[in-house]
Amino acid sequence: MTLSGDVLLFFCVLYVGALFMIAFLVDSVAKRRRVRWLSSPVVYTLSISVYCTSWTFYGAVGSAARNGLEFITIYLGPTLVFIGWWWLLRKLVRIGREQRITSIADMISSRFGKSPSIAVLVTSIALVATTPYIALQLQSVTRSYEAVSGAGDSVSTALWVAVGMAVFTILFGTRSIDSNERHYGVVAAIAVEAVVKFIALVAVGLFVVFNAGGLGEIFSDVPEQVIYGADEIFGPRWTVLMFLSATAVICLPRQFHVTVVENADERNLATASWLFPLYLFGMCIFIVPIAVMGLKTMPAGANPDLYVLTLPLAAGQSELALLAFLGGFSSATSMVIVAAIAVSTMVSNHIVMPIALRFMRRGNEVSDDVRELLLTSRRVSIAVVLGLGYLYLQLSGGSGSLAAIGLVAFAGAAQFLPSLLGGIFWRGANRHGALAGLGIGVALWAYTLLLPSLGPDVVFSSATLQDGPWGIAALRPEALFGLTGLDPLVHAIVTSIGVNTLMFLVVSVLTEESALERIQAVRFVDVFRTQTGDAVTFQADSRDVEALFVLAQRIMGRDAATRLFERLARDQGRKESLPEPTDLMLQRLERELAGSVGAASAHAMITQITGQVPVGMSQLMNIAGETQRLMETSRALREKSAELEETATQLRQANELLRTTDARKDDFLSQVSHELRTPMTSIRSFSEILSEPANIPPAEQKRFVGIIHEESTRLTRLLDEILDLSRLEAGNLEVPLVRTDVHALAHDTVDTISALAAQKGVVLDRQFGADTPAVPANADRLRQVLLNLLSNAIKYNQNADPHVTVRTSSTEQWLHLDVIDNGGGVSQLEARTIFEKFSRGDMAHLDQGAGLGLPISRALMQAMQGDLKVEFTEEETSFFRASLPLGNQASQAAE
Amino acid sequence: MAALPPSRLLLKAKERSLVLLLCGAALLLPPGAQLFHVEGKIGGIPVVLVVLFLIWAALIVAARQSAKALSSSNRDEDFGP
Repeated sequence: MTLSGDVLLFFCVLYVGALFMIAFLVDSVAKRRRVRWLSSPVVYTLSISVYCTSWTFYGAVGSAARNGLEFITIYLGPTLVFIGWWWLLRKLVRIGREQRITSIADMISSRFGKSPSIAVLVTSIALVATTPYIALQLQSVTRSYEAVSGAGDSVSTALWVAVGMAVFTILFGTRSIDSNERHYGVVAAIAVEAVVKFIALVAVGLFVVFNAGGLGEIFSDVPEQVIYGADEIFGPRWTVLMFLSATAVICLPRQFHVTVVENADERNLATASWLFPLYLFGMCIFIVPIAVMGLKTMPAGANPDLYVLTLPLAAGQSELALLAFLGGFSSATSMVIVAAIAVSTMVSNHIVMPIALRFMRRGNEVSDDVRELLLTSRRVSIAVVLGLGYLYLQLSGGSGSLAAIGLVAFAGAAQFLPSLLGGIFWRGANRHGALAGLGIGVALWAYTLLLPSLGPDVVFSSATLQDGPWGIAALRPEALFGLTGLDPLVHAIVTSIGVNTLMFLVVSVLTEESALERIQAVRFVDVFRTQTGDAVTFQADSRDVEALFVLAQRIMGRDAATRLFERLARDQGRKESLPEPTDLMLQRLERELAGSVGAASAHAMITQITGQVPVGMSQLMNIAGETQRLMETSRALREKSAELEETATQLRQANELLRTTDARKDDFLSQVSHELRTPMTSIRSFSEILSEPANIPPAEQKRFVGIIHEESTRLTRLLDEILDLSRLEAGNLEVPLVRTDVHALAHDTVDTISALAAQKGVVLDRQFGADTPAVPANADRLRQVLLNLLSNAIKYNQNADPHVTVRTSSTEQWLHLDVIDNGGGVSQLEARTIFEKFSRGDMAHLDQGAGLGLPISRALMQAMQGDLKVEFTEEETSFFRASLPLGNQASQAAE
Repeated sequence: MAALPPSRLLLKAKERSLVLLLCGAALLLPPGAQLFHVEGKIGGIPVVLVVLFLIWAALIVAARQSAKALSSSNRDEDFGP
């Protein structure tokens, strides 16, 4: 059962027309406003699924039928990259956005000092590696067309398919040159195609499973060899295939294009990290059942690559076959479109532009001419890419299986891996290393894999393949250096990637990089950490700005260039004129132009106008920027830590102070309780005795009552003193000051105490200075202080002939009131603690004072702006000195 | 998870994905993959097929959990460094 060719053609044209409509509508809408769903993670993931080409759609089943499970490695590799290494992709995306990267060639050349030679080399490799892949798509579309329509002439069919796809891609991909190379319309169309191919493959899978009566039925009598393949399945080839596919999903030009260049939002990667593996999972789940059913039911000799089509056809399901055909067509077209856009961008930016630059003369510029040149060169490149694909198909005779052709392309793209990874993770990687690695890698790839894949007697004769060129066995393409016994693919990968990586490392280490390379190295490797400015290697004056404006017009078109220059001028605060050629302005201009023509070309074009200056001190400073920043960070950290230490010390001190204060408070409380306890105890005991007065003679009773009274008085006095002291310490005790005649007060006080002195046999002397002025003081409080000092002096005087002298004297500022006794005074040691609460001198046992008198006296003196101290004479005897200020104008006025 | 600061969260997600990568590689590459090279069927399907797809599905689910934690608490933050 077949469908007619006309019907197929009609549906193809209809489908392509629908895709074009979608792309056109999306493009025109996206031009006017930001379309949210276009930047959504789902659309992004669907566009990444351009990974699933017709190799997947048809070839996976073919591969499963030939080699069993092996096909699954092609999808497990990318799965591991996306679930486990999305942050590598994130770094690529970030660098791509910051550097306005337009392709993988741009990325690698930009990293290695915007080197044109690297750009050309990478572009050439990409072109050569893409060719077999395009051939694969042409072959699959041709074969599927023939399978469904039954038509015969494959050469002309392939030609028409190639021409159709070229036209399609040119219409799609080169409608304009966007800065940043974003193609919203194309991405939308690719996303639609991703959905179509998914639905088609799953539909065929479901049909096959249900038609066969379930999975159990399908696998019921399948020999193990069908699942595991002829050879050891989990061997070196399995590992190499996983590595290749993991590499391909990063390095294939079209994958790089959709993943990095077309990425609208870094965060989409988080979703793609699981959604893309899920898509692959869905694509693979029915592959083995379809392959097994194909092997079981299709006639021997039927092409396993076409089971997806021929199984529904054989069952008479022409609608399903049509859907499957469209699914395969979708996978082929989406790959061809994206691959051709990616490669043609590289060819035009990195090969055509540099050549054109040589012939561009200043003076006959026309607006848009570079732009036109770019567009034309891209269109031609697309035609060339498809032409090469067609040529490869004809050369290789279309004999190879789809999977084998695809792997050749994968291995070619894998050559970018060392330079790409080294470039973004290793600052020491340089241009020479990249050139050496890429050069030798691609040469070995071509020699060991690409050229032999064309078949014997196309490039290499059978004899060369068998025995090596000129009979040298060590040079046999598929057993180089005597590496025999390996699968040709494993052999090619081990030699090409191995030598590539080694050369890249060794040459990088042995050679010096240029200043621009070092700058780019920091900006790539530390893309998340540094915000270094671009390296300015231009020297422009204001006359050059016009030339730069013309250049921008030629590349971006008149309107876009005018808008850009207006923006640049506005940001410099200018309104009506062209911007000044400052470093910042030149950087921004270079980056904008790089978005259209690539970093290397943009750099060269601006240099052509402005002239180049050697990298100066400031650029070297930029290189050192990272080190500088680290040093600054570490200095800031040191400062912070010193600050913290200081705070900690202060806290420790405060804590210490609090602890001493707390201890003092505890002491005070325990002393107070002790002081209160003594009188309380005697009061209680005597009152208990008196509660039964019958046995006590009246005289005793009277004495006891006397003791109780005395103790109560003492208790009251103690409480008064504590109260006074606490008020004084808190500053709550009011001590109003008035001018007081200290002489009169001292006389009165001495008179008052004379009775006690007489009782104790102490002689009181008075030595009052002549005309002591009146000073601001509180008479009552001063009397209290003097009484306290005198009574202490009298009570504790142990001299046989006790004398106490009260003396007044004055200096310019102070009036001193001294109380001197001949009882021995206090020692130097006692003087230090004597003013503390509850502190008592050696003689304190003679009295029952609580030890609060002196602290209170001192506090009172201080409240009167004066002081109370122990003074020592030359003979080491001591006396108490109360001092009062003589008073100033203010206090006199206040009076 | 949501209490972590964005930079810490990102680091955590990065470490998690690396471990996921290692687990996946250990199970899907030889010699680990050899373990599943056994005769027999589960529900009529060869064991190796079932196991490979189960591992694959488990990896996807784990990656989804990790990505969900990252994006739900980090939606408006800058996605780095």
